Amino acid sequence: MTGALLSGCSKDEPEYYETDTVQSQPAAPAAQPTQPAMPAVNAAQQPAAGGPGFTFQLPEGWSQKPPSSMVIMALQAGSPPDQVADVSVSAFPGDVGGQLANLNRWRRQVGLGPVDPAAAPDFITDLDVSGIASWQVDLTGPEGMGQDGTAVRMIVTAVPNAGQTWFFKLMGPEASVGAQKDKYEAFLQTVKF
Amino acid sequence: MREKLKNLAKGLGSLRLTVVLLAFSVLLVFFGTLDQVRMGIRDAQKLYFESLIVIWRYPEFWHWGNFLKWIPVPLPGGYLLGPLLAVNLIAGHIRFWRPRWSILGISLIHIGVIMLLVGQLVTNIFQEENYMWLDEGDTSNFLRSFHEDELYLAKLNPDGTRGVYSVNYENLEKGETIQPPFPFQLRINEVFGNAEIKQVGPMQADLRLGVTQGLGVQMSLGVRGIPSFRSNDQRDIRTAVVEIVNNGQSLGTWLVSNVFEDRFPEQTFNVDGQAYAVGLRFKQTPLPFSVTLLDFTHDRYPGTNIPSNFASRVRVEYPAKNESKEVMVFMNNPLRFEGLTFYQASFAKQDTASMFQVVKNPGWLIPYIACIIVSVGLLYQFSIAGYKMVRRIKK
Repeated sequence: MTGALLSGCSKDEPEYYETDTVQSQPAAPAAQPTQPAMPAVNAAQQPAAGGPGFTFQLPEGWSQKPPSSMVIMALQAGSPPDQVADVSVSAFPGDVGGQLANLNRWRRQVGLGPVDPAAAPDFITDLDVSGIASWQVDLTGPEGMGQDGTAVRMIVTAVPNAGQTWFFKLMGPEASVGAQKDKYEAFLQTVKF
Repeated sequence: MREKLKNLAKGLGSLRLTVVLLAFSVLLVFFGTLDQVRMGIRDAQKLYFESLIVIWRYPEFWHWGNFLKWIPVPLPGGYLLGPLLAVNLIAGHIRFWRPRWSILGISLIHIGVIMLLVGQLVTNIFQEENYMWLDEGDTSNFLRSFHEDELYLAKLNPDGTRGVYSVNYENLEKGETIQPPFPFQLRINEVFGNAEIKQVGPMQADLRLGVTQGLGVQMSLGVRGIPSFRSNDQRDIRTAVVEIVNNGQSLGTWLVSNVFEDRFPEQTFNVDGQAYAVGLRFKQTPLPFSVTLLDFTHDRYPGTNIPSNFASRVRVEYPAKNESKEVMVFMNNPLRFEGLTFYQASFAKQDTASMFQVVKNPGWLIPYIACIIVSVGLLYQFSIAGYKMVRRIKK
């Protein structure tokens, strides 16, 4: 009976269906363990040959970390016992979905809800990095999102260059990011593609 | 011949067999529980309870494990024990049953127990478990699978709708060619049950696996197969390399992986002016209705972080049936709609996101009916015994 039942009900056949416009639903919130994280073994990976693709000056008190998967360069902003935040640099092809999609993705990561297109420009500031017109967002989530119950703050600078968008991201507990913000801005000014 | 059949029925319905089967059940649960630590609950369930025979081996890290691990111990699996117990119960019942009112309760109890066994089998085979994560204000019209992944091709229509062709990850075989209902074929060049994906330089070009299009090229990604995480918390990074072939000509080779979703834009391509997307993702099940999370509330016991209650207010809309309603979903009060049950399962993001476990189980009523039958049987049987005892005392 079991065999007959098992062979009679295959849920595995390929299927075809039509759907309406796909509606939003995260695979899992960033803080959830169900999200398949990149394996930790990737942390030992060497950067792509040829360096990160730009030159820069490391601010005092900052140090370089091994880049993880899909991150070109990882830095530790500050050193204990001072407040420490993370800086990462990544580059993706095209505009990676545009300003609104990215803004809402980052808002999600710090624990904020999405904004609509009309409100998006309020969160975006324009700036110049390496002579390239770039844009930046500065987001602080609600308290309780960080590991120690504090709020998470994220400053991301997007630099369109050579068909790619380069993302410079300073992220960490609100107080740490606040303490490292000036150095981060000074660091950006030293970046030359 | 008749005598042989009689003997067989006698053996099948014997109490001795019942004891042996129950003893094996205890062993199965014991070893299954032990192995669950090593291989995770899902694999242990598959190996021990969803199989006919299990070969158990003495764990290497126990005393004398170095020697004893070589001795295989075969055990009957759940799919063998369950039906055998059912047959034993039925045969025993037929053998000993006499039409008497005084033992009607016992018959009912047996019927109830058989129904429980059948109900468990139906659940095992037909139950589907999925989930839906929603932020407050978000609407969704599909479910995601906890465990299954799918390779999909989607025809992107100009009006925003899409025609989706999906193949279960489990069915992918390296080297095979699949014919979707589109004017091209899909060749599976590589399949990885779990993979390490990282950016690689020219020295490791072989890890790029001949990918010529999409994210793999743009980000110089290399792939290496790694063993399963065997974890309940972390899903394996299923990855494949697929090639689109049109009239024998390759249109390009793509790297797809279930970690790309949510992180990167979908990988798209054009064939004869029509846009398509290709990817590998947590298996999705489309719904004919949509669910919107209006509000999530989470009460804690005063002065502690222990949740006393958490609840989601959702709106369910089914346009084809002109149906729209608001429902509260909280612990022990799931939403039952169109054969699906939405349980309040988790929450996150400072109480602004809620997860529902969504279960489809056509046999969900069987255990309830079985329990009612068993209860009625017990009540009946004890009432008869009580009545007899009272009468005896009076005499």
